[in-house]
Amino acid sequence: MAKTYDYLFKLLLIGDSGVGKTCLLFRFSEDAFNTTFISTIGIDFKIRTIELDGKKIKLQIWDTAGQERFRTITTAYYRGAMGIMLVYDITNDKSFDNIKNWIRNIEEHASSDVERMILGNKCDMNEKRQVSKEKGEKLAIDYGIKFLETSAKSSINVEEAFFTLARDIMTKLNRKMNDNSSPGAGGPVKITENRSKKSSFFRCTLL
Amino acid sequence: MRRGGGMAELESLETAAEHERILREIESTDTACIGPTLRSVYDGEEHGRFMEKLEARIRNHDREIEKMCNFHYQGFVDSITELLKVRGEAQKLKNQVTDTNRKLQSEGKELVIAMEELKQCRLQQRNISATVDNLTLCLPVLEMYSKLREQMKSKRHYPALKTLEHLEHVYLPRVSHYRFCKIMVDNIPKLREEIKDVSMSDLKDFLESIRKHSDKIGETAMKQAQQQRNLDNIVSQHPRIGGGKKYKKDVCASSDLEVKNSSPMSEQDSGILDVEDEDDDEEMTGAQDLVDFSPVYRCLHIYSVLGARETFENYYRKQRRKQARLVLQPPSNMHETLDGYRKYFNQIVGFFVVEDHILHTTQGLVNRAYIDELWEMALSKTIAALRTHSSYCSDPNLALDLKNLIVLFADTLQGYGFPVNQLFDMLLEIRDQYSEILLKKWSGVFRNILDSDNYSPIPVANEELYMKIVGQFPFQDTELEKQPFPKKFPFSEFVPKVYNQIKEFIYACLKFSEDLHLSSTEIDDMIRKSTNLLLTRMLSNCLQNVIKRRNTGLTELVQIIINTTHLEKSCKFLEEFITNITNVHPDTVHTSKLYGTTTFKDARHAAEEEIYTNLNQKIDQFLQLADYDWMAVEPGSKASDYLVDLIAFLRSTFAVFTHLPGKVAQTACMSACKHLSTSLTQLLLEAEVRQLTLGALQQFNLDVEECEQFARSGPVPGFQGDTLQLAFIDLRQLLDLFIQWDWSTYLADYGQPTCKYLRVNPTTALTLLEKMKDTSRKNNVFAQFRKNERDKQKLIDAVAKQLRSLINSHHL
Repeated sequence: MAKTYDYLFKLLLIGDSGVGKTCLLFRFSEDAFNTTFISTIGIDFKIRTIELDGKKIKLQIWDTAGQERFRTITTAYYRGAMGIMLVYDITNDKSFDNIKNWIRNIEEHASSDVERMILGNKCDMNEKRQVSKEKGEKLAIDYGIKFLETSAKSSINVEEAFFTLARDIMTKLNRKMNDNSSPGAGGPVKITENRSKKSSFFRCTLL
Repeated sequence: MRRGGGMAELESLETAAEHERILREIESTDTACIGPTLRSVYDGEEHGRFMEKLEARIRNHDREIEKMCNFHYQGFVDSITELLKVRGEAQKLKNQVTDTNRKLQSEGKELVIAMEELKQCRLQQRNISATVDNLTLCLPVLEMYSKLREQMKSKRHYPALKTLEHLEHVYLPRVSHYRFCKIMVDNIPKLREEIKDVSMSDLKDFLESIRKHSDKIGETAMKQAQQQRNLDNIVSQHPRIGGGKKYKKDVCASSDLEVKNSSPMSEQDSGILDVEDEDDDEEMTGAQDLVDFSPVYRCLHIYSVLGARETFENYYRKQRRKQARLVLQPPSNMHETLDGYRKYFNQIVGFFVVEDHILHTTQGLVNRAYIDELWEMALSKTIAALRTHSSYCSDPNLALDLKNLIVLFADTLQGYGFPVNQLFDMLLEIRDQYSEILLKKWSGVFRNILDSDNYSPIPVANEELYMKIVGQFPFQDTELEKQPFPKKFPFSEFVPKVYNQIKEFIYACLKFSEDLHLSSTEIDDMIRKSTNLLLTRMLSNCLQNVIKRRNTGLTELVQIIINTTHLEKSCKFLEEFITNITNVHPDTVHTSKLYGTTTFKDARHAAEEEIYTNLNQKIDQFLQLADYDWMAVEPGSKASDYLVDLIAFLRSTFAVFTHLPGKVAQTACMSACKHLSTSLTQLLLEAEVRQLTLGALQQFNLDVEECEQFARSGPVPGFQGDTLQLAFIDLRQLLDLFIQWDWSTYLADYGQPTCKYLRVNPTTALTLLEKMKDTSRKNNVFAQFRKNERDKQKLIDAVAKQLRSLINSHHL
């Protein structure tokens, strides 16, 4: 089987229902936009291959349902994720307030070293804005997370967001590899390490 | 006498007596008659004696007179005095008389003058009366002439002509000796010519104005036909459908009925418009009453009178034919607005209303044949024009309005007795076009509904909302009714929307059939056919498009399956709906059924297919992430990541779409497993994988076990026993054969129904075996295994040989 990529990064989109997770993914994977809101049922994914530093990276991006009733299914996907996008809607206060809960969810269910990023979506609808950019930035800084305001509709910062997250994962990966070469490394990351031993990116670098 | 003696004495006595008598006679007789007496005296002999006697008598008388005078002297004197007095009086009287006479004479002179004057007057009087008599004879002539002038001036040429005739034949001969009459007589032909010219120019003006006002006339006629129809509608209280035939009859009958004054037919006999029918309904005067036809009649009469009727007829018909051609030439942008059509129709109606009126009010200025010929031309041209122009129409409302207009147009002209069947045939063509337009429009409507749907079950918070939805769409579910609010309908918004739009479409179809004089069966048939087209072509395409669209996800597909199931169930209500509208029972008449059921079934099947495809694509995407190390010496401790993810994805997907119909869920699950199994097999047998180790195969086996575990766990309910696991059985037998290296069993039992490896194809086995053989050869760096390896190699060769012969025997 011919190798079609060098790394596989699994990303996860979480956030309240209706903040535009599916649209962000649709914009990123198909470069298109759909105005009608069709709420995601359970979980879905899209794959897009990007290039970073001459490496082909497959991004398998999982799109979760924001609705509470699918929570058990969606949280099952936290653990395998290497990067998580926390999405809120700048025209919806509540979705922003809930980011804290989503972060708590991540802490509970995801790997501890998962890369995170906060996205304030629908920034094209400035006239309906309820959450200032500064507020979003402040929250991101508080948690030590990167932040971007995006618009799936107007295609603002969507590419940047996913590329940033992918690059952060890449950086972390490289650092970890360097750590790995020195004996005695381990700690809480061990499980992940073991898991990733079989996963592509490790072997790719070895080859 | 006594003196005479004896005899003498006697004689003397007689003579004396005789004298005495004579004397007495003289005294008593009138002097005039004295002659004879005197004669008797002369005849006697005794004159002397008589003389004596007479003397004696005179003396006697004198004495008596004397005595008398003496006696009456005083009286005499008195008398004289009296007489003298009388003489004075008489003189006076005489003077008086003279005076009176003189006076009389002077008085009489005046009288004579008066008499003279009187005489003169009498004469004058006689003259005057003679003059008057003559004038009485002449005046009517002059009056007639002046009336003629007046009539000429006021352009009443026909009366003028009549007057002229009257003048010529009645009045002028009576007084022909006058010079002015002579002038008049001379003038008569000139006047006739003038009237002829003027009336012709009037006619030309008329023709010009009628051309200009045709549309106004037409408009009025159409309006009246409309009013008539409305009236009929009210009277008959009949629904328009099926009632059409009745109306037609009414119109035909109205020509015979005096009651229907307002109908155009009855007014056709009203005659020349100059004679106004006061009692005729004033609020609804005939369209032709807008026109003053008098120029035509006048001109016709004038020409008839002048003996040039034929010329006139020819001229009139030729001009009108020209006008007809102009009228029938539709404006090139007619199709753009209804007004364009309306103007066109108005002109045509106007034209024929006028011709019809002319036909009925003139004797033969136009005849049936001429009108029929014109009408035929009009029909063919109108229909051709309509055909061309209506084909540009894309607005159903315009098409509908156009149809109503054509119906009105046809009805109006039918009211005037023109055959309009061809127009109704034409309408059927337009109906087909209208249907096409409707289909196109509703195609868009459906597309919008489907595009804007959120493909989520409709949530209802309270009874009111629940009833609203149930009112829009026939749905009954006792289970759902029992549930407390808030709850959800199983289908999404597009179900009631699509259902209602189908109904709207049916209404729109129905609208066209109104007033077409169609039977309810025909209407029913038409509605069903159109609705079937809508369902099988438009709605079906729209659904298929959504289903086949690249970004349609499982959510939408699953909801489409549920939605179409409900729409399918609603088809019988649509049937009922149509039946209620048309009153045609589907059982009683041979009618086409609605194909809604098949449409929704097809859509559902397509959606189901798409779900299977969609799942398979997801599986393919996962498999692209597969990254086996085919040269691995040892297998890993657990299934590959991608496969674990894949199985988890399938698991959660089936867990989430619980509202998917059981069969579909089972099929989807089975198809996914089969696809996964086939894909995994392909991955293993891929030509690019030249070699593989047992370790790799064991890792692969771990993955397949994971799949089997999934199949065993019953991801969707309803599978009997290990049905789902059968999806992996081929792969399982193949892996078992290789991992257990059980070639003797395989080869020994080959072809037997009880064979453990019944499903392992020798070709497949050989392909895989070749890959393992290659591995063994290249791995011979490990010297200590050399002998083992050699044996193993030999076994592989032997097995391969056996397999080849099996394959060959198969092919023989």
